[in-house]
Amino acid sequence: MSEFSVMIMVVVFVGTLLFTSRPCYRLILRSIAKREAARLNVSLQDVSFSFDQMVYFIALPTTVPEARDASRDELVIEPNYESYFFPEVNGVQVSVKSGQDVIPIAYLPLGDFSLPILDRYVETGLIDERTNRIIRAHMIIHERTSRAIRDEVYHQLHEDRMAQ
Amino acid sequence: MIYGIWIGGIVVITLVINLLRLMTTPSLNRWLLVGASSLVVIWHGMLFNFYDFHWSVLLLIVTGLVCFQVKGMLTAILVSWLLVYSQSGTLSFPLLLSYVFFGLGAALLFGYVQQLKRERSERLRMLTASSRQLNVFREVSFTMQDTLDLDRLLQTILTSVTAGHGLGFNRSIIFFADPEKDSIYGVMGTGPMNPEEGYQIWEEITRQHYDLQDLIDEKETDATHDEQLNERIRKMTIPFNGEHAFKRTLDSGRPLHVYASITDDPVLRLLHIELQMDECTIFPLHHQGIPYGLLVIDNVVNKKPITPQKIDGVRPIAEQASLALHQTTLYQRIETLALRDGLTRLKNHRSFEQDLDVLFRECEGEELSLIVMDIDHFKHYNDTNGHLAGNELLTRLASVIRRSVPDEQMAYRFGGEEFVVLLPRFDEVEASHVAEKIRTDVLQTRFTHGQTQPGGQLTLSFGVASKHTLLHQTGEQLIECADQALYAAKSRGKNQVCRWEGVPL
Repeated sequence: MSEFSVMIMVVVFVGTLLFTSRPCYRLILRSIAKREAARLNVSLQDVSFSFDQMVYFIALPTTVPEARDASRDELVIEPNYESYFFPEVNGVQVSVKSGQDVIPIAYLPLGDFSLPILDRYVETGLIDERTNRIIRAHMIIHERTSRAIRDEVYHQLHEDRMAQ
Repeated sequence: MIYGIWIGGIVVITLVINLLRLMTTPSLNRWLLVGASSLVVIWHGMLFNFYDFHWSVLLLIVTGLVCFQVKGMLTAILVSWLLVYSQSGTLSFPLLLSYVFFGLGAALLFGYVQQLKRERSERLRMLTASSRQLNVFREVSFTMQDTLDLDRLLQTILTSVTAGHGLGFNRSIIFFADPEKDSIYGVMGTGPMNPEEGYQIWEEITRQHYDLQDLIDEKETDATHDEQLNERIRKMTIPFNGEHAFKRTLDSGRPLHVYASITDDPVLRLLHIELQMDECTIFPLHHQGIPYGLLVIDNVVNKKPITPQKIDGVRPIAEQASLALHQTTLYQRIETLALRDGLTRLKNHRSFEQDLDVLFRECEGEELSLIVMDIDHFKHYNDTNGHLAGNELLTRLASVIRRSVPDEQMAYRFGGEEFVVLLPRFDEVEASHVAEKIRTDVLQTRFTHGQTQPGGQLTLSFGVASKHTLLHQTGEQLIECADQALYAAKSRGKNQVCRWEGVPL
């Protein structure tokens, strides 16, 4: 039984670590971001952001039927984490899930997620690089940002630029 | 019961440490994870009397490897071996050897996974960079194909390398090269003068959610954009044939990456003093051996280094821009040949007819006046002084007219010795004042052989007509009435302005 218990110990430890690290990370991000925002007297809800540096992996306007005909709900916005053990958001990727197929559409690296107010705070020394990264990561995986990214990508996929 | 406590204990330890470690620095995070695995191993040992302790420490070895790579693994092997020794009281070298073998196996597997991850990250980074370059290139190509207007073209080039939707540099500037006049001069730039201004612009762009096309349009219509930068750039003139970075870049045909603050190069010193430029890259704009100018980029706000990859990203845009500049220059040359008078460089008769047509079509409710002028006794001048002198006179007179009218783009050579001026939103009285000014300016100008003219000087007669005095609102009618007024001026003794108000007055 004891040999078996070693295996169970490893599975429970690693399993708990893997399954809880990302939710814990998001929780910590939210908590630190809110605390820092309160210190800076800024409402995170009102902070202007832009994902103009989002990179599209397909030509726009696209003729790929899965992308062209994708509805808003078929667009999947997922954070791209560094690892399971040491979760850190590197960016957000947008893809279309069509049955078993996943078609990558766009990617927004965290460093290119534009939050001018944070850049200004870093420049003036109000926050350090680590805090900047934490608030940025919190903002990029926030529901409000995901919604805006989904709307933007949907708009880009369906906008006929040639007609302009 | 004991199993419940055991599993619950592992979950609680892991959860608490997980929360704590994520709040700390990356280094402390790793130490806490190693600590968590040690606690779990000890917890397991305490509940099971350290029965299989020599197996459970394998978790510690793996955690050491995950957190601190090979060094962490070797330390964990040693610590585990000593821990087992402390429990069993026996120094087992075969056990140490088996830990080392286990560690090596784990390290190989872990290294392979890490390698895969690194490759995946690198591929994603490269894909992102190439896709961005391709996106910007495509967008810019659309815009460049769409225009032959030089200002819009320059704005497109500048915005494509600077804006968030573009390649993301903080600032870009275009200089034109004119080898014939031995000059390189600043034309247009976009970007801030200092970091504070840069942040203000970024915040505005972010608030407005501009895309690349919006930005190009916005910058084209709003003259206040980058006013200070453009003011300084336009004052910069550098000799083409000199020993400086611009000439070197044009000669080599390759981008030049330099630090303006630590050089004696006169051009770079100028850029540093006038624009606070430091690290920057200069791209040549040339096509088929013809130098058109230079594109200079820098990161004045965020001071991000300009890497070779980023330089490579700008090169295709610079090459595309050179081609577009080449086409635009050719188009402008052809347009000049078609719509300008070869002698006086004023717009020609064809151009006048086009503009008149446009003004009648697009400004229906607005006033429009026309001045027709003719040199008095021009035949006499030609007969007396020769046709070459006559041509010289026409050229000189054109420059006087150009200076005397509100908008020189509205002055035309109508044919022979006749000139016309279109005056949108001017009534006949205001137009007569303009005609009077031209007449006076001509009188005050010394023309070669002007004294040989009857009256001792060169004079002009003027006919003025306005749209609202016409019976039929057509361009032909406007010309006809202005012409009649001109004839009246001629018949009344020349050197005077006569305006049409239903009849010549």
